[in-house]
Amino acid sequence: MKIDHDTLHKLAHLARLDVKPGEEEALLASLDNVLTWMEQLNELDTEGVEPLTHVTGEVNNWREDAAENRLSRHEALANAPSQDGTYLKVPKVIE
Amino acid sequence: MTTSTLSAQTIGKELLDRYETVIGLEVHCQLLTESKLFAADVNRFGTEPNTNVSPLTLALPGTLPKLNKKALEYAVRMGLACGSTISRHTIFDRKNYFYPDLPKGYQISQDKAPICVGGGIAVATKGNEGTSTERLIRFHHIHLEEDAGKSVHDGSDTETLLDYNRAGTPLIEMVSEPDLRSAEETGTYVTEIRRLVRYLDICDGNMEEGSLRCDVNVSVRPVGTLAYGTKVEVKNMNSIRNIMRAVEYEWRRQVALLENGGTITQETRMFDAETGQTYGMRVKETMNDYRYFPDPDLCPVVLSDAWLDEIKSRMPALPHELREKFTTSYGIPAYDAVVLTETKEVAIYFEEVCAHTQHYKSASNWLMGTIKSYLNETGHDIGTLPVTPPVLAQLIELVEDGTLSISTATQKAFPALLAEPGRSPRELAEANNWLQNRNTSELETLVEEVLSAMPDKVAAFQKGKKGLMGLFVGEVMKKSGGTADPQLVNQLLQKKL
Repeated sequence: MKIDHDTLHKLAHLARLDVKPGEEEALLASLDNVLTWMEQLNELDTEGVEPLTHVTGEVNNWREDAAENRLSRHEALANAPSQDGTYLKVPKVIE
Repeated sequence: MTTSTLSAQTIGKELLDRYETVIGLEVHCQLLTESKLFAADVNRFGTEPNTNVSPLTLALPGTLPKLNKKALEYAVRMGLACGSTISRHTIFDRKNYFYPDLPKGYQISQDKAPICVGGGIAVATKGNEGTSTERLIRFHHIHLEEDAGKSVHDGSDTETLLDYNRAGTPLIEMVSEPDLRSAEETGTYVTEIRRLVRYLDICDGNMEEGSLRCDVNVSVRPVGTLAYGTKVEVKNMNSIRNIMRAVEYEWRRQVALLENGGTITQETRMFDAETGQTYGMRVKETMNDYRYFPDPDLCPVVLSDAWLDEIKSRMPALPHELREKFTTSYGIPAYDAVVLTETKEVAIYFEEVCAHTQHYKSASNWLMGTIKSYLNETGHDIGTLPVTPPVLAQLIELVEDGTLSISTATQKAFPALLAEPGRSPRELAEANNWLQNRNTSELETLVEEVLSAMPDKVAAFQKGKKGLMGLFVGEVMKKSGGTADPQLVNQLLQKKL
């Protein structure tokens, strides 16, 4: 499968990446490489094989329902680029 | 044919009736767990902004989610109550999108292997001539997912404020098939879901606070056709009434649009409770591409028979089971059973009363009459009613054995018991001289006095004016100062006349 410019820009948008014109060709080649490599898997017959979603074999790594706040609001907001001591602030997202 | 343009407001019933509405719902319920779905932060509504947060909730590097077992149990409870198939092997997926209320850039949800598949909720629909039929509104599935944070848009013109207390709180989402056909049915469906989650103790069902939320998909099609029309998703309804209004409005709007020769656009619309209308969002909707994939941070969940059995053994009685029990074991009418199971608290109270007296229908009458009016007037709920079930049962017994008249019991004894909950009904009745006079000889004297005072009425009665009986009973009651047992008076009068 060949990745075209439109697909590249769609992927970039979904990842909120700003792809500059000079970077396009290198990225296209790189993505093509990955896809070609993955396509080798299509040669295998996977008829009747359940999809594998996790590889460790571990299951039921759950916890009991116990609540505990360990982070103060002051600490929680400390690294935010913009905050007012109560809320985090971002540029307005709706009109 | 007129050329004027139709609108949702002006379109007539005749045109509307040519179309059928097809409705499917996505209902989100916030689960009543102590902690969040994948982190230990406190799960509570209404606390100070950004105080129930953790490094995981804020998506700081180096954190790993860990599933709350209770949330899983609650989802299974809902599935069991709705006859769903419980998935014995379930996984979590990432739903990827960017929005400031979602710090990770993805929501942990379930896509390919949701916890419950199928099942549904029976909804009673009124047919013609007052008949009622039950129809199963099928679930596509129920899945578990985490909620997003809360955005505050009206605090400033240039900035959006974010509170992450809600981020990561556990939700179940019930996705229905497009089985609903009217606003009324949709209202009944959501009411049933809300009742059920409250019975199951898994969600408080508070729509104002957003612990039960609902997105509605509405389309219309000409009656008799099978192909679905283009659907519109409507959001932002915070009550069952508003959900019904939104469906009704969409039906009218879409039919008017089609009758004007227009086409329906697939879009998300917001409901405005002030105007009762829906409006398209100006935000440009790009095609959603969530790129779901299994979350590698969360291993699969495998439900054992033993654990499922444990959950089943902890299931409370459900509304339909109680309705069945009330009509068959207690012999009360089906209507009473529906009213008594409207809330779990009233159903439990009724059951407790029935453990102390066998006059089940009387108990039902008390709950549907005197007690219901009292609760409505005062705004109290039955859980804090000062008159406990055993005390009410004693009061019912006093009425049933003729010691107290029903009017004295409801109008005097009940208010007195509310004021002095510690006293026994019998003691109160004796102290206040409320006991009914069942002394036959005393009452016979009164009956004779009354009848001899109005010979013309007696003559009229004997000629067939049987309606005068009420007058005679009333006169005797008056003479007794309201203490006579009306049934006994009736018997004595019958004998004398």
